[in-house]
Amino acid sequence: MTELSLAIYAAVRIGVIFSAVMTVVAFLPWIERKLIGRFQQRFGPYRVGPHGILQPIADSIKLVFKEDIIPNNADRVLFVLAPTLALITAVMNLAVIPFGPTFELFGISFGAVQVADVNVGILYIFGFASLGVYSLFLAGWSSGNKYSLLGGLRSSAQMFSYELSLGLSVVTVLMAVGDFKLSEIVLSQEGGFWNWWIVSPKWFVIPGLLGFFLLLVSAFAETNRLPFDLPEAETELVAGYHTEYSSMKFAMFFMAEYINMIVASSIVTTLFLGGWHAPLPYEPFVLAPGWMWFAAKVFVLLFLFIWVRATLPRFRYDQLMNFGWKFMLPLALFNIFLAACCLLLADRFAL
Amino acid sequence: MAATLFFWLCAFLAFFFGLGVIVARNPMHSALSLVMTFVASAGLFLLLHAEFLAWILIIVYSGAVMVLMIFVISLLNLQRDEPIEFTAARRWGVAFVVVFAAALLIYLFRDASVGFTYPPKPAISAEWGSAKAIATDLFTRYLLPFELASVLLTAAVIGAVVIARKPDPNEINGMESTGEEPSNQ
Amino acid sequence: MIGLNHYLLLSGVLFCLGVLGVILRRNVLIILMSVELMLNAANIAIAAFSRYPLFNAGTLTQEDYMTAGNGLVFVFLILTVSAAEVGVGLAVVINLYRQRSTVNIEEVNLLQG
Repeated sequence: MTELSLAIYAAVRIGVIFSAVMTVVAFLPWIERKLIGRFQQRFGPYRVGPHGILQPIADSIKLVFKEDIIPNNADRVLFVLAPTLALITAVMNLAVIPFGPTFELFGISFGAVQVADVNVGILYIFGFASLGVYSLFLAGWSSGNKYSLLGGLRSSAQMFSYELSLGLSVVTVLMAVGDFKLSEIVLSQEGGFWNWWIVSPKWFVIPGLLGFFLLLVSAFAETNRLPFDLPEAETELVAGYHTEYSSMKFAMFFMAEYINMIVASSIVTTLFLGGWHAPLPYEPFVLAPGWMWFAAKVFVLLFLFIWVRATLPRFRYDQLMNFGWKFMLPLALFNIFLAACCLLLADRFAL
Repeated sequence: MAATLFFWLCAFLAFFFGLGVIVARNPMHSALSLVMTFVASAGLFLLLHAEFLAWILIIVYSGAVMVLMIFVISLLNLQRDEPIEFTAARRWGVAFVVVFAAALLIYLFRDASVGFTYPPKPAISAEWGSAKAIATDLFTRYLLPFELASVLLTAAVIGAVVIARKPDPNEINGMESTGEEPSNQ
Repeated sequence: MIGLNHYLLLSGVLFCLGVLGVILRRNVLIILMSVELMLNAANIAIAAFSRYPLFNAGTLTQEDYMTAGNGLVFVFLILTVSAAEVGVGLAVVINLYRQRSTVNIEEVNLLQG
């Protein structure tokens, strides 16, 4: 295969994945508002289009035409850099997620539905996630506003604390698979939901369940969703780090947050829920293409994100820190120990 | 060709932001420049096929060390630094560094064909920079340094907590209080 | 073609920048950052040395290469040590700021007789 055709295939993959995710991102706020409305016994947006489905378009037109304000005592360069960084780090993470197996279009095979199968895929995601911390902090710091600064400080402290348990919860799966490559991790869960790492008998179920719980909670904290949305707590910090942002810069933060939700759900799906594998390896299930199963699992997790937001109240700051350092971190460390023991036992008795 | 371009891009960024660290008047700008220097260095590590360490560099330095640094900078509420004044001692220091840099340049360029045209080592396998290769060495041949490093980290954690801890109001003349914990922590 | 010397050159320049930072700046935090810059320069040099053959490559055999340890382990250990150094260093800076309300090292001269 020549370099040119490789480049064209890669461009097609990037185009397809990017536009698909962006479409979901456009309608996710509408889905969220509709669902939250239902949870709170309201209708949610209902005016623009049937059932308010055109609401995202109306919102984006409004945001584009708003005045773009930069406060007088803001650090201008960093103020503009922060939302850009937020969006870039979020989008970059989409590049390594395995959305599906090899797909064909008009008889031509385009390879797996994944932009780049990086050898150190999971580290790549952590790397960009850790760069993403700066966007929120810079937004808070460069605004020149004390509420924003508090929001930025909170976000950096929070992400810093929960990144540890996030990383450690992933280590269990890495130990079991023995590879950082995300496509390998998906392939290791082939053949029915009982092989998914969340309930896999290869390590006697418990480390999987614990790891899944830890990863999910850390993912909530990393994406700044309720109950961990202290950086943007509107009741105490008047929206925290994005108080001073308007127009497209605000929209970029918004998009970054929803892309991060999708990325987090995708990671949980890839690591613990079998990626693009069908739940049962039998005839009617395996006929659906892999990316559909992946999308279905991601949407279930996104629903969970919204459900939790509608259900749980916000943590207090000290509760958040205590939970992260005194509960999540020791539990994650214990889980690694447990997983190692289970894997060793399973290996010894050749299960 | 692409690799050469990528090297010069990363090298230029590393140098530019490295300079930014020491000339920026605002400590926050220094810290962010340093983050960018680390990202550029990670790019160089990728070019050297040390992909595991490239991402570890970003995660550990950008994700943990520099976040902590920035956190402290914003906690301390620092103002802009005074401009650098060149006292006699500092002039000598700068002169020494310049001489050192010149010596390094002369040494590296003494025979341009030696180091500038080297191909990578022939015997290096494709796995050289992978986590597996590093882990194999780390857990067999270099097990003792690895364990010592973990002991060092534990000691550093305890040390940092003890040093940065808010002084106990009940603590008098270095004597630990025996009473109950103060409630307003 | 990028060779060993390109990396060494960059590493040397970054190291000099770090030294200049330590010599010229009076802010403790910036001095800490300059030290980090120097460690990073050392990391680049070590990684490059471990990727490219040494100057006396002619005297080494294929077996020497195969049995030589992986130089990247050093980089890994340097990362660990510098993380520990920053952790303790920042704790000291916070304590200093609490006691003297400054991070300028010229104003911290209690031990000077």
